[in-house]
Amino acid sequence: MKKLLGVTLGIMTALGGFVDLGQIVFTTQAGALFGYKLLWTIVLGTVGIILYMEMCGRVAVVAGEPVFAVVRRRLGNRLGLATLVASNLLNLITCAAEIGGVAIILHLLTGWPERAVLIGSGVAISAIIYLSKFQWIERSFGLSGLLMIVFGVAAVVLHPDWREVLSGLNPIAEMSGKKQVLLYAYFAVGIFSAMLMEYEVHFYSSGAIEEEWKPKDLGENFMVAALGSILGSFLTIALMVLGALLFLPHQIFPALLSTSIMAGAFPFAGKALTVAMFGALACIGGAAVETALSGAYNICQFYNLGWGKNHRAKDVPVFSVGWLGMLALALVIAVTGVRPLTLVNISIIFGMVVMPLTYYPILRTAAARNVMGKHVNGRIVTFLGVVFLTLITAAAVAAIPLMILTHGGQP
Amino acid sequence: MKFWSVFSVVTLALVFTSQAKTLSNEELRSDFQSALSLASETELFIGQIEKGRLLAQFQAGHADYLRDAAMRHASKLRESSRDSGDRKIVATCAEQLESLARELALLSTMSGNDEALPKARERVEAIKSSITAARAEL
Repeated sequence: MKKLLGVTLGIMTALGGFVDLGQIVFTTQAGALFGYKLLWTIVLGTVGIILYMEMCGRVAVVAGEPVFAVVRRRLGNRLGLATLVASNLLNLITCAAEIGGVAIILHLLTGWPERAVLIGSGVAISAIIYLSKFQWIERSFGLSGLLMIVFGVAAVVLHPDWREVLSGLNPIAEMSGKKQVLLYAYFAVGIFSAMLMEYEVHFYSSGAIEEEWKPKDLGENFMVAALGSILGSFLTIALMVLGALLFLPHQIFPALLSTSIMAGAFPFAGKALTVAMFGALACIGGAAVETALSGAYNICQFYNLGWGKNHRAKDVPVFSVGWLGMLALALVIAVTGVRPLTLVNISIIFGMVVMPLTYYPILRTAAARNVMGKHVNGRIVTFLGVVFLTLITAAAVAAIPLMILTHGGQP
Repeated sequence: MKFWSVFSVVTLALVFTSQAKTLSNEELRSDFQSALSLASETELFIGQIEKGRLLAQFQAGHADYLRDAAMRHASKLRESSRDSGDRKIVATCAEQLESLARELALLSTMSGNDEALPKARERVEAIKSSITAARAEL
């Protein structure tokens, strides 16, 4: 039973990363614009995140070093600090967007005023983090996020043409005109980026240390990383299928979270809509928790200060003030009225730019025999790691020009 | 560090200045497409209300979000129309979006068997046709 519950770290990490506010809307939009043609980016992103999540977990367990300890050692103080600042800014922006997303869903569930729900959401998330041990946070958000399966059921019930779905595994798609090509590239980079968001590996590697994994648990590390990511991947595919079936035929470009949620329960009655809303609430709320905690983990790990959710708050003061400060600042940003989807689009694209600086040090460390001993990367894992780092770097270079040229993905 | 600071400032400036107020023909087409998308989304929404698949709070909330989107879009078009050569066509699209927003305000509380629902659907269809006709003139 304990081993089974251990999988929830992977599930919460992946659902909070894969099926957060940005991905829910972004993937539905991709389906609405291109049908299944971008399916390959989901598969590619899933392989990439499993690969790097497993490496992060292994490095954390064997070397005892979570992500930002590795970043500082490999990149040095100056570039490491720049990476820390950029990563935490992205965590902050993403956290603000996710809190905004939580408020939208609570408003749709209760009808209470959105501003009041927004402040209530920030306070409630702070209370949950403060009162819960790490394991209970991951279990509650991970398991309740499984309610998102209703999106998968809806996608199947609407009878997609599975042969056409599978044809989306081919990345070479015919496009008419320069604008379509640019939009296709923008959404490909965006989906890939959203699946590999840095906060997933910050949270996962810190979680492995929070859960006191030992080298004997490394077999489970792969299973946890893979199961969570594959589940997240199926839900992401479901979102794309729903976008393709419900919106593409009517030339609808779904730009609202409520539209994507409605799609998740489209063929069913109101009860399924409630399930879809609670599922999305758990995933988006989980992402808010992940980003807030990741911000605090990163600072403490970079400066080698005490950290851990399972310690008493006063024993790890910088960590405690760190996540609370992240939530407070995120709430201030959200309260200014800036649209959560605007924030999340910025974080997805700028996240891609910073990504190589997070993943390169992880690959270097996981492949270093003097650090990892017998748990060093095999040749195939290192080769795949290099291939994905090259893809990540190429996408990082393309991300901002694509954002400018497509006006942030406007069709 | 210095490079990244300059890079970030230049990038943000480019991103924000790319949203010029004078709309090019391509941007206008994109805006008309968004207006049509909102009208089609409203039709889909009406379909879900007719089938009784929405909860009351969700229906009211989603109608509000759609209405906000329509109003935001209309005011963006009205601002840009000062500089646009296609002023009349743009104004027509903005008017239709404002009509759509009014329909959405009514839809927020309608039930599936409400007699006014088929009429609302007809009006949204008419709004969609007007936007399509205006787009053809671009």
